Order: sequence, then structure tokens, then C-alpha cells
Amino acid sequence: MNGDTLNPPPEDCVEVVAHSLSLTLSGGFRERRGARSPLSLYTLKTADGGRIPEMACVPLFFQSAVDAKTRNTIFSAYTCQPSDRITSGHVQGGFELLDSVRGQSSQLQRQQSPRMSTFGGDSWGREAHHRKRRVDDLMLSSSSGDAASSPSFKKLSSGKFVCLVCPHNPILDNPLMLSMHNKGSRHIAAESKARESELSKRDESKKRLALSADSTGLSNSGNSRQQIKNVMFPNKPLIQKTIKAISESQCKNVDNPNAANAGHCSNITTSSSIGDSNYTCTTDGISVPPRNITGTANKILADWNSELLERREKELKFTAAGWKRDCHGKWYRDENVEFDSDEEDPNMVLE
Amino acid sequence: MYLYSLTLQRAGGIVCATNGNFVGGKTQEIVVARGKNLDLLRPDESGKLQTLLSVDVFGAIRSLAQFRLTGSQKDYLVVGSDSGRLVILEYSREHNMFHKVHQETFGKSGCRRIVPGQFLAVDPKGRAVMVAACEKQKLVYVLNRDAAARLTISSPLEAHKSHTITYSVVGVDCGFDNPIFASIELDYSESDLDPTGQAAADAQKHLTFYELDLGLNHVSRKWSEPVDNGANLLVTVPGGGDGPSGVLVCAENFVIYKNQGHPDVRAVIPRHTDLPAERGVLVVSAATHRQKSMFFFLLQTEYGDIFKVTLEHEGDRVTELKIKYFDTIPVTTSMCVLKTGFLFAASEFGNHALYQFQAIGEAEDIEASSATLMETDEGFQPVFFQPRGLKNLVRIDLVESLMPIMDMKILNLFEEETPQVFTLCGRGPRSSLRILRPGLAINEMAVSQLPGTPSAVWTVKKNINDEFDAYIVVSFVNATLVLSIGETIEEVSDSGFLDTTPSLSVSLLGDESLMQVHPNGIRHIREDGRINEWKTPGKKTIVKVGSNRLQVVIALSGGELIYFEMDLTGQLMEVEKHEMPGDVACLDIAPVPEGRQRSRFLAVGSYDNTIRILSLDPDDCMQILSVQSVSSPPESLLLLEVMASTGGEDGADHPASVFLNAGLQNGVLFRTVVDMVTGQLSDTRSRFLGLRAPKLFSATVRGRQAMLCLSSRPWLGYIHQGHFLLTPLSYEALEYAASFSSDQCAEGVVAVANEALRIFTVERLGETFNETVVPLRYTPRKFVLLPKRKHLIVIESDQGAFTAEEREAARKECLEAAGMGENGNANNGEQMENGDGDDEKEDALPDEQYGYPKAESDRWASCIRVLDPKTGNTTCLLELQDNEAAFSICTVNFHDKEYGTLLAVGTAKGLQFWPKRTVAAGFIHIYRFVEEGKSLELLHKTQVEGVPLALHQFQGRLLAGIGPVLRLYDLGKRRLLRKCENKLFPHTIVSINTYRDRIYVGDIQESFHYCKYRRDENQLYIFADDSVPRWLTAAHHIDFDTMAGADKFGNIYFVRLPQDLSDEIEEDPTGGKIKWEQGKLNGAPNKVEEIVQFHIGDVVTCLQKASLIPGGGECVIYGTVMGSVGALLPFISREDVDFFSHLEMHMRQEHPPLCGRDHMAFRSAYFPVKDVIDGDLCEQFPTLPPDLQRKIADELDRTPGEILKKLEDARNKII
Repeated sequence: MNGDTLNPPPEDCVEVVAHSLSLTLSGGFRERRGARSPLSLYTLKTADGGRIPEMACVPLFFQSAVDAKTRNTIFSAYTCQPSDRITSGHVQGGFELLDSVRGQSSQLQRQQSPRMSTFGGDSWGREAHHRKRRVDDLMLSSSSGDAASSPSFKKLSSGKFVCLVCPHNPILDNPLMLSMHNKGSRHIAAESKARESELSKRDESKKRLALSADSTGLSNSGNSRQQIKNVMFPNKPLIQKTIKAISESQCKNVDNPNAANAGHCSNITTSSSIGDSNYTCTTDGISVPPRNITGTANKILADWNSELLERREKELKFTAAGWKRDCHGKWYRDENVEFDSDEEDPNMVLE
Repeated sequence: MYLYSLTLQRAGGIVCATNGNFVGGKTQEIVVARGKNLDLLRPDESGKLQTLLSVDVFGAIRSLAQFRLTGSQKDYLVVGSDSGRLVILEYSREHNMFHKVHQETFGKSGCRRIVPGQFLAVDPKGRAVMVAACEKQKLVYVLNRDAAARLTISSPLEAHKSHTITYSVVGVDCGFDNPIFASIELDYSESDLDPTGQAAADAQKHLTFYELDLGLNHVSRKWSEPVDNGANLLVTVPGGGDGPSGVLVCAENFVIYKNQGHPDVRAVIPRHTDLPAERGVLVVSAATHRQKSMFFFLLQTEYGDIFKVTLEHEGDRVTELKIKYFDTIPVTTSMCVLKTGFLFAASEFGNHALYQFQAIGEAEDIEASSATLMETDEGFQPVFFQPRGLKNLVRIDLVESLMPIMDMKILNLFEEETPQVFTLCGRGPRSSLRILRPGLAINEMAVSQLPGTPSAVWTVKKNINDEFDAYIVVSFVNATLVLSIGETIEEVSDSGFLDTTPSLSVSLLGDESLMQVHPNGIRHIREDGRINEWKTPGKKTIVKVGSNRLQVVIALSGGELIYFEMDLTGQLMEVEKHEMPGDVACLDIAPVPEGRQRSRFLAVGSYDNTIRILSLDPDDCMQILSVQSVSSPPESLLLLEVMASTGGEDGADHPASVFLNAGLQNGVLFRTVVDMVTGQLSDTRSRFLGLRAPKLFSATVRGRQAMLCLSSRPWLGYIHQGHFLLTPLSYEALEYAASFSSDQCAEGVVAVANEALRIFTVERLGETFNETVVPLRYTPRKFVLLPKRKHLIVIESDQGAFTAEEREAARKECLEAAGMGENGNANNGEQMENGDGDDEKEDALPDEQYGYPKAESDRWASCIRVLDPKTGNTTCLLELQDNEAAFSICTVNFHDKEYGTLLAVGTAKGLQFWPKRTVAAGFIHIYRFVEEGKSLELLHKTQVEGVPLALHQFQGRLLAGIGPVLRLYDLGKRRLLRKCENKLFPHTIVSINTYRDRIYVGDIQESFHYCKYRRDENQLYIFADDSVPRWLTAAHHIDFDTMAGADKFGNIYFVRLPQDLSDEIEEDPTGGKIKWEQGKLNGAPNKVEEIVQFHIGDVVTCLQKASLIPGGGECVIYGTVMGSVGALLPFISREDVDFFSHLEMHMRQEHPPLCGRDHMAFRSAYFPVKDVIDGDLCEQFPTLPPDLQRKIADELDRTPGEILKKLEDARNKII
């Protein structure tokens, strides 16, 4: 099927051109809708070696369309007439564009734009086409084999391909289709978006790790990156992952009996589906000191951790009661908040 | 989310009422409009008001009028509604429904200023009807008769006058001259143009007569004259030979007689002696009584006093107008005087009443007359009076109304099977806490203890023609007790019954012989005292019996059935034996159908989970006709025959049918139709009734056969307005029951439970709830539950009222002045403490009837009450001082503070609404509970800058909505401490709900705002709001992202925060997003989505998510101002949604609403209806004619029976 199948072409070349045009046009249309139609890649061919003396009578936009075809690009659906689309459905086979037709059109082409001779020589068209396809194919397989970058597609058990970047995950019949799809503007847009989000996520996690900057931070950074790589396209805005990464990096090997229970943090644990809640909140710029985790130190660490939590809870209580901190870390009363006469002073309590 | 909306309790309040002869014949009926319901009421012989028909019209009824074509025997009903159409209805007795005779479209739908529908006036001779708008438009339709004597209606004639406001319209009685309509109008054209306001101050009301010239077919303004600017109501005066014609103009303080070419005759309306001087007296409702020889008017003032107005006239000249004090009853929206001597008073708020005239005010009383009218320099001399007890009227019936429901909670405080609905109802002195329980009300007539634990009870007549039962037979484990029914109920021993054995059945056999079946035989007691005894063969005993008047079937142990029939000589003859495969669990024979010798069917239930129908016909006797397998062994069977009926008092047509009811051991009532010819079973339905296997008994309700089912609570299955209803009774669990009829109680039930014999009657059939009333002092505003002690704390407040102390002082003064002094009510002070309940029993003039004395409008009286709902006792009542009034309440547990649960009450001091809303100060009172929660003690009160309309506990602190400020308070030593606030709310916060760290704030006119409290920053952030400005009246939290709300235009809606937004907000690790995100145009950055929208057509005041049945799914229950209770049930399956939306669609097409409002347009009146199916419309399906039912059913690919079953199921899921 894929472009190589030959069907006996009709006698009249003009008709062939017109017909094939309708095919390609409709193919283009389908392509835009994300369906998997290979028709746009078919080439045309007539049986008798195809002189087309009547070429002149082909309407101009057809000509340019043929040119476009030879340029190995997809036709835009915008030039497609509604009547053209209708004819597409029942055509089964493919057509191959005759050399001479190609020659003719390429001549026309050359007259219009000489810069097309990218692949050199007279017989550049078909070979070049094949070459390019092959390269695309190879590129595809190589890109899929590359574990370092995220795979942008997945091969299904049916042999088809599904693009993982585009939000509606189009299924494409063959590598060729996929490569064509990957060149599409939508795909490119989706890809850049994904990359952007990944970057921002990485940024965010870096920031967080920097916040909890310590010796483990460095050793863990590779880890967390690994993790980010593993899960590629989450539905949620990534923050969940970041939190997880941080929590893992921080709480690894630490048996912390108390789940963080401060303010909004607790809600994160309960509302989102993060399995482990063994992380500490790191808001308010309270830094978690470095931990050198050894098996024996676990208990001390846990004690230390709970102590920390307690202190943090106390601090939260004071903030909730209307105390604020100045840049020196001293507590002062918010002027908009009322206090009881015998209220505790955090400056004393938290000494 | 798809919801099924169903009204559980129809609205109780009445918008307008009219009386007439709608059924035909001699009877008088009352038609009342209850918002969107139209009800036809009639007082029965015993003086109880019965509802003949209640129909939902899916539109707002604004006015009603009745007219009669000359020479006709029957009245038509004209309805003015929001449909932009004039609808004339005729009651059809055969089908028990209103038929639309005419429907004339004249304008846009909806209640609009210039679209007529607000006022209706009918020519007293029934020749024309005028329908008027509040402003400008008036249309007159000419009514006539065609050749076939059918009512015809002309095209409308316009009587518009732009820039006029209409206050009242009435048809003037001028005999058979051209019809004239009178109206009170105010022309505002000049005031509109005059910016100085001079013209507005000078604007003058006019009384205008419009004449319909029948010859020219044209309406003209005939006469217009300035009238007192306080004029608000017109009353037509009989004319055309019966009286002087013309109108009574009711104005502030005056009643004026006016007619064209007649000088004004004016009299003052007498005033209460204690009425503040600046208050006027306005007439709010009027009724006319006409007889051939005389007529008089009853006018009621806004204070509830009724005055009788009479005219002295010679021909057309009125010489004197007399206003005489008649009686005082609660303020009404309309009064109807029936020719049969009844006065129906449709109360403005609270219960309506039916009064009977004892006199027509002929006795001496205070009277104002036009002849004695004194004009002084300050104006006319007022006449004073003091209200007294009822003299001319006596109340004979009460129609309960919950209007207005101010607050509602569904709780199971009494640990009953179903939760109770606690509603705060009513206004001022007539307010109450009503505890609603699903089920019919019971009137217990007698309870008597028996010597042992009875196992069964029966009642028997001595003769088939007797009206009343003769004996009550009670069976014990080893004895039978016979009680004879007479003046008293006493034990007898001469009845012939064997009393040394337990009984299995006792019944009347033949015309006048009795039968007792006991385990060892059948005892047949002939009318002459001869006793025939049949003994069981061998050692077998009788285990079950089924019998009717002529047939007896017994089941012996081992499964043998023996069939007896009574022969012509009155002898019981064995006819047939039949061996069943196993023991018989239960059996029943249908009663003998009229005109036949025997019933054809015997139903037998076996322990192998089957029910068999056996034939009793001689030719195929004891042949099994059909077998039905059931889920559990049947415990009790009852064949219920429904007589063929073609309308009549309570029903639409339905053919005769036999229903087989079976109570299964798993507590399910199983119901199926028995084919009258073949005995085949079809159309099965089942319903879970309770934990115990239902026992079924036949009973009589309103002369029809009904079914009593005794499970863990008793149920009654009966036919009401053509529907079979199965409703629980509000009574304790019963063991065995039988119908009971005696002199004192025609349709009662005698039942045994534990060691007692109980006799009761079932009251107010057709109602969903029965109520227990606890009276309150002032208009209740809100209430909360003190969870541990199960006490309710209610806040009440009234504007323009004196506090209890002031009232008491005034009363004492009054009594002293009357010379009663010491020996009057010496213990008044003590009574005060108990609240209103006891206060009024001894009082000659109960406030409930007479209202509180009126104070200036800026005076408030308010109290906080702690109530024990079990006993209805008030354990603590705090009157607020210094013109303070309570508006919000909540219980709060401050974290790590020593007091435990505290009560926070938000109050306002000196609140005034007019001319501008002002408040002297707002306070939040903090009370602590003392004496085990029975009493309150003020801890401290904190002044705030506005009225705290919403309070809620949040994370161990108190959230308060004070005007546009949401503030978080902590408990301090001497006051509340402001800890955090957000001032960014648009208008006024009226509701606060919280869940975890989210706060859902309802704004009075801008719908919901979702907020979050950040503890680490001590900040409140608004992160989402609604894009639709809604005037919120009720709010309820549904789930983490969803809120249900109701607005003041009668819509219920649900809003939900989209899932991704919600996640994003919850997953904000830095916290920076919520802090810095900004919305557009001062709104919140995120918007909630509206997921459900439905127009209820009534202002919803309270919403709650609750389940009314044990183990049932939760639904949203709402209460409305008009006193209706409804539910919104979420659909579980897509199939049901499809089915009901199609049914609704067909119903809309095939059965458009009665008053001409398009159903879809009504439900979408303000916002397009979304994802709600109107169950009220679907439930009108059974009222359709059978062929239409079949047509709709065909289109739904079902049978009508299946549709009815679906409807029943849907209702059973809710209640």
C-alpha cells in the first residue's frame, strides 16, 4: 500500500492530475484532522510514459499544486474545494507520478523557482524523496532508541505509532506518517510546550533542592532528575512530582512518624494522592539542616526531626495568632491584629 | 450531575382565594392559589376542610376571580398568572380536574410591570372580565354564550392609560346596564418629568370608572375623581335593585362610599387604643356577604381586626356608612364568606382557619358611623376600641401551613427510624418550631392495658347490615377475650366464642352468623345461638385461615388445605381438599365481589419462597392458576380489590382490579396485579418497609378498602385523589390490627402492641409529613443544634414590637385600669419565663390570635432560646436588651480554651431599613452553656462595625461575616480578638461554610466566593468566585468543590470549581500563586462553573443535604417561604436520566401546564434549566387519560404500568 502499489492509471493525463490532486487534497484535509491517511504521500504515474501535451489546460492552481507535490510537501486544505473532498473516499489504490510529468512540472518549477535543486541532477526527485524518507525512518528509530531524551511517540502492538506529545495523541500508520506528523506545526507547538513545561519543572525542582541545599542535595539531584524523566506527561501541573522528588530527597531513610501537619501542606498530602507524607514543609524559608544518614543515626535523626516539627508548629501558631517576623528573625505584633493582654511572646517562648 | 426534583410537601401559604360554586349543585367551594398550586377546598359535613383537588400549574398564580353566566348553575374560575395569558377554568366533577375552557394570550410571560395579570375584576353579572397590570395596561374581555351554551370570549378591548399605576380593580355592580369597572389609579407622568419632586409630592390618586359599551364593543373612561391618597382597596357594593351600587374605597384610616354622581360618605376605621399615633390603619382584605334582603362587608385591617360595614340606603342614595367592630383573627390575605355560614380566612402567615358564624354582629359594639363623623382642626376624630374575645366567629378547623419556613434542619434527634425535619416557621407571635416526621398523623382515641400479651385482634359485626362493629376479639397465647363495643368497651362472656383457646380468625359469616377458627377446629355461631363445631381430623391442627363472608379456607399442619363454603341454609360445607407440597406460610381469599357468590381466587404462600394463586371456582376448584416466586418466604398475604371508579370525589377513572400484596420475611412488601379472569400475576412491585416482616390487614379509609402493613413501623396503603399511596404512620410499632368502626369513630383502627390495646384514627390523608408544634415568641431567624445535649438554640427577633417586659407592664397597667388589679393574673411574671406556650392558655386574648401590640418601626424585640426538642420545653430564654436583635448564631469550640462549646450570636442594635439602612452598632455575643447545656451565661460581647449576618467555626476560631468583611476571631479574656480579615467581598456576607482549610462565603448579591486560609501567613485569600451575580438566600456545602445555593428569585443552583483548577490550587507548593494571582475587574482569578440550575418558583430559605429514609441515598432538601418542602435527588444511572428526560419531554408536550405558562419557560425563568428533571411534572402522568398514557408509554417503549412503577421508585428513593 505504502506508495509503492501501482494501479492502472487512467488514459487521460489531465484527468489523472486532477484526480490525483483531489486525492492529495483530501489527504491533506484528513491529515489536518489528525486521521491517519497516507494519501498525501502517494505519487502519480500514468502507464504510457505520460506525455502531457495538454498541460496548458490544467488550471493554474492545479499546476502549482503539482509543483507542491513534487516538492514533497503536504497540500494545504485551504486550497481544497468542498467538492474535491467528496471524491476522496472511494479511491483505494495509490498512483505514482510519471517521470515525465514530474519532469514537466519540475521544468515548470524550475522556471518559477530554481532553488529547488537541493538534491542535484535531473533525476533528483524520486531518489531524493526515497532518501529523505529513509533518513526520516532512521532518524525516527534512532530517536526512539535514545533513552536520554524523552520519546515523543510510542510504537503500538499493532505496529502503528502514537504521538505522545500532541494533546490528542494521534495514531499514525507508519513511521513515515509519523515523521510527517512530527513536522506539522501543531506537533511542533505541542513539543515546544512540553519542553517548556519540563524545563520549568526542572527549574522548580532545582530551586527546591537549592532551598534544601545540603550535601545530600547534590547527590540526590541526579536521582530526582531521573525521576522527572521517568514520568513524562502528567495531567497535573507537575508540582506533585516536584514535591515527591523533594520529599524523597529529604526524607530518604528517615522514619518520620509525624506527617507534616502544618496549614496548607497537610492539605497537599490529603487531597492529592501522594502516597508518602514523610516530608517536611519548607515554607517560610526554614531550612532543613543536612543529614548524614547512617543506619545507627536513624533514631536520633527522627527525634531531631519531630523536635523540629514541634518548633515549627509553635511558630505557625504564633503566625496564626498574628505575630510576624522582621528581617532579623525577631517577632513583632501585626498592627492589624488584636492580642490578649497576657499573650505569650514568641521572642521569649522560642528562645 | 443530574437531579430529580420533587416537591415533598406542597406550599401551605395562600396568595389569593375565591369562593363559588365550582362543582355545581348546592355546595360551596373555595379555590386557593398557593404560589404555583391551585387547590379546590370544601368544608365537609363535620366542618373540616377537605382538599378535593390540588394541581401544580407551573407558573405563578397572581389573582383569581370567579364568575357565573346568567342563568347558569356553575361558576367559572378566571386565573391571572405570570403566563401572559388569561385562563378560564371549569371544574369537571367526573374527572376531578380543572378543564381549560379558554386561554387568551395578551402579553409576554413573567411578572412584569405592564403585562396584565396582577389584577382581575369580573362584572358581577358575568358579562365581562378585566385583567390589569400594575401599570398602564388594562384589557377587557367580553364573555358570552354561543348557540350550544358554551362560554365564548371576545378579543380583548384595551383600556390602557400610560403613566398610571393601578392599585386595585373591581367590577361595579350596575345591574344589567353596561358593565363598569372601577380602579384606583395614580398618574405619574408629571412626577416623572419634574426634577424638583414637587409634582411627585402633589401626585393624586384617582378613582376611575371604565365603562364597557356592549353595543359599541368599546371601553371608555367614564368617570374619574380624586380620591384619598391612602386608598388601597376597592370593594364592590351590590347594585341593580339589591343595593345602591358604587364602590367602597378603603383608605388609610377611612372607608369611603363613592359612586358616580353621589357625594362621598365617609367613616373612620376604629383604632386600637394602644396603637402608636403615627401608625395608620389599612384594610388588607375584604369579603362581601349577600343575601336577597341584606348585604354587609367584612373588612380586615392590618392588625387583624375585622369590621362589619353596613350601608344605610334608600334606593340609590346612601345615607349612612357604619363600621362596627366584629372580631379579631390573624391577618389574612383573603377572606371568603360561604353561604353555608362559614368564613374561610387564608392567613398571611401560618395556619389558615375556617370559622363558623355564630352571629353577624347584631349585638352592641363599638361602631364608627358616617353620621357621627367629627371633623376637628387636626383632622377627623378617631374612634377607639379594645379587642375582645371572639364573639361572632368560632373556629372549627385549622389548615396547617408552614409558611414561611425560616430555617430547617434534618436531624435524627429522637433516634427514630427516619430523621425528623425541624423547621422554624411563621412570623411574630404565630411563629413556631415544627417537627415534621414523614408519615400520616394519628389521632389516638384510646389505649387500654390488657391482662397479658395479646397476639391478635379482630372486630366483628353481628349483622352484615350493621353500621358499627359489635365485638373486639383479642387472642392471647392460651385464651380469647371478647369485648363488646357500646358506649364503653367491656368484656362479655355470652358471645358464644370459645374463650379457653387462642383464636386464629374471627369473622362474620353469611349475613349474621359468626365464626371463630381456633387451632383445633372451626366454631360456627348461628344467629339464634346454635353452635356448630368442626374438628380437625386426627392430630392435625389448623395453622392458617383465610376467609371472606361466604368462603373459608384452612391450612392444616403438614400443608393440607380444606375449603369450606356456606350453602344456602347457612351451613358451612366442606367442598374440596388439596395437598400442598409443604407447610403453608399464609393464605388469603379476596372479599366476595358484588353480585357474585364467591371470590374466584385463593392466594397461598409457602415457605419455598412461592405464592400460588388457586382457583375456587367449582369447575376447576383448587387448581393452581399461577405461581409467583419471591425473594423470601411470605409472611402475610392480602388480596386487595380496587373498585372500578369513574371519577367522583377523589379520583380519575380506573377499572376494577385485584392486587395481591405479600409481606415477605425480609421486610419487603411485594405487590402484584392479579388478572381478573385468568389469575395470572403481572406488574410486580416491591418496597422495603422495615426490618420486620410486614403483616397485612384490610382497613377502610374514606369508604374505600385500604391496607395496613405492620412492619417495624405501621404503613397505610390507600387511594388518594386517584393514586395509590403507601405512607408510613407516625405511630409506634404494632403487632396486629383490625379496622374498627363505632359510634365515636367511624373509620378507626384497633391494634395490639405489647400489652396494650390501642384504638386510633388516621388523619389528614394525602399529606407527606405530620407535625409537632412548639410555639415561639418572635419571628425565628436561625437555629443551631448543641450536639452533645441535643438541645436546639433558636434566635428570634421582631421589628416594631415591644419586648416582653414592656408588654407585660402595659398589660398590667391595662388590667389595673380595668379594675382587675390583684386578682387578675397574679403569676404573670412566672409565666413569662416559660415562654409563650403556657402563657397563652389562660390568657383571654392570646397573642397568637391577636398579635402583639405594635411599636414604632425602629424598635426591635429579640430573644435567644434554648429548647429541648424532646419535650418541647424551653430551658432558657434570654431577651436581648437595648433594642438589640439577633441575626446569626453558631456554636464554636475555641482551641485550647477552657470553656468547651460556646455559643456565638451576632446582633444588631437599632437596625433600620427605611429610609436608609442604618445600624447603631453590631455585636457578637459569646455565651457559655451552664447547667448541662440547659442555660446560657454571657461571657462577653464584642462590638463590631456592622451587622454580623454570618458566623461559623473555623479551625478552633470564629469566622464572622460583618458587612463586606470576613474576619477571623479568637477568644480573648474580655472580648473577641481580631486575628485576620479580608475586606474584599463585594456587598454583604450572608453565609459561611467551611471544609478543611477552605471557606465558602456567600455574598448577599454576588453568589459564592471560595476562600482559603493560609495559616503560615495568617491570611485569607479569595481564589475563586461565581461569574453570575446571585442574590443568595440559602447556601449549603455539597462537597470539596461544590456548593448549592438558592437565590431570591426562586432558583436553586449548584456551582463547582473545575477539577483541574481545584487541584492547581491545592498543589500550590510555594504559595505564591494564590497570593499573587489576580482576577479581572476586581473578581477572583478563578471562576466556578454552574453545574445545575433549576427554577423552583418560590424563595428557598434553607437547603440541606440529607437522607429522609433509612439507608437511602442523600438528596438536597429545601424549604421555601411559601412553606413547601422539596427534594433534589441525584440520579445514579444514565438510563434513568434518559428515561425521565424523555418522560418529561412528552409530558411537556402532551400535558401543558394548566395556566398557560410553558413548562420549560417556567423552569428556566431566570437561567436556563440545567440537568434537573421536574418530578412534579412527571408525577402528573397518572392524571392523564388512559389513551394518552398509553401513547406516551409507547413512545418510551414501555407500558404505563412500568412508567408508574418508575415514578413510584423515584419517589420511594427520596421518602
